Amino acid sequence: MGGFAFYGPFDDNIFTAEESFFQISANPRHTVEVPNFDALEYIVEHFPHILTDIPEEYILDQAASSSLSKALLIVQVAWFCTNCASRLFQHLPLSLLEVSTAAHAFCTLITYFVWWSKPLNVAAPTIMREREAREVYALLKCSADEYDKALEMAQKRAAGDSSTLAGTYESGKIVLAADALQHLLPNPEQPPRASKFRKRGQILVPGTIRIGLSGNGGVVSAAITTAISPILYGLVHFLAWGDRFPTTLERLLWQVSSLVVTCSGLAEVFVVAATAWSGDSSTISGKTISVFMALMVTIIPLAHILASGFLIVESFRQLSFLDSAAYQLPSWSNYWPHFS
Amino acid sequence: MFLALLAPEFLLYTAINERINAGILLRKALKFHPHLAKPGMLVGVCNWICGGMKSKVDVSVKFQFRVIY
Repeated sequence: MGGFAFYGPFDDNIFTAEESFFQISANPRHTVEVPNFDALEYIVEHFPHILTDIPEEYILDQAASSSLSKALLIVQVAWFCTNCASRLFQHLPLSLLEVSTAAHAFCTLITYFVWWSKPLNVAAPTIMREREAREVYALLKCSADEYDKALEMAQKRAAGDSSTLAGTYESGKIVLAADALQHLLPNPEQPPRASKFRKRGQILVPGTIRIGLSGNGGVVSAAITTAISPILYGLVHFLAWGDRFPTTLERLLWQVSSLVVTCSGLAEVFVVAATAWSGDSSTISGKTISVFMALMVTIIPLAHILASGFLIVESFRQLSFLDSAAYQLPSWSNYWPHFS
Repeated sequence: MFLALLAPEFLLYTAINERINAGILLRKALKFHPHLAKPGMLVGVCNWICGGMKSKVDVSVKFQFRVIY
């Protein structure tokens, strides 16, 4: 959310190297494009000077939530979790709705802990608007052919060959990219080919999912995250394993759904890893394995969604079949200050 | 909001993933700009407790606290 952005898109008909920032920003055809993680990583490594120097107070000023509101919410959520724990300690039954809410609350607590320092809903990105930023933007938007041309132009310029300056026509994008590449000579690193940009409307969508996953560290961390988050959510549903259900079938479905939700992330990681390690897919057995794995990659998320939906629906359905003990309040969690 | 209600595990996934990515970017940024390093919460608390220590410019860390944060 928020973050750094370029003015775009890059169009030779409306952009020239000499165009000023005011002309760019006044033109309604120009939109804001946010670099993805790989592009930002490339910028941080090679062009850190184009990142606008903004104070922390400026970012916090744009945030829609303060630490106080986060703290109040955490206290309330923690009270609910304590309430559920006290019911268990006093051998009072937990309704399925309480179990589902506890799972949501548990995930919310961890999410808030992870995002404690993250400002909420910063809608306006910080535009990198200097000429050097335009050069880097042009470099990131270059295709493979355009990159080769820009590199050749940059190398000729560095060698003192002025023919490229007054010679054949080159598009503004390539000229700007060549300017950027001149800073990286003699051994420039090619920008990531998967460097896509997000539009302004996508800025508020949380999460920066890495496209390239360069290096073993990125793959391992993504795999661990994929496996752990459903486990944390699903484990809480096991609290209702021996609870009273309207029918035996619903109890069985709840148990199966809890298992599916908990293990789906782990299974997905296992299937993806097995596909990567299965190796040769030219043989018949290799092809069969790859088709099976592709099916599993599709089926597992679908099963997770269905199981998760059932857990929510069943938690509301059980409300009509609660026994009288479910309405008794636990004694000591009421001493916790909370809104009620 | 709806994501938190319908799929809290996905929100948790994005939060952890984003935190990991932020750490990767931070490490990379500090590699090229070590002067941007700022003490974290635990180090800050340690500095505050050990305020009697003298810094390079011979000013107690305790007096630098409000300037740093």
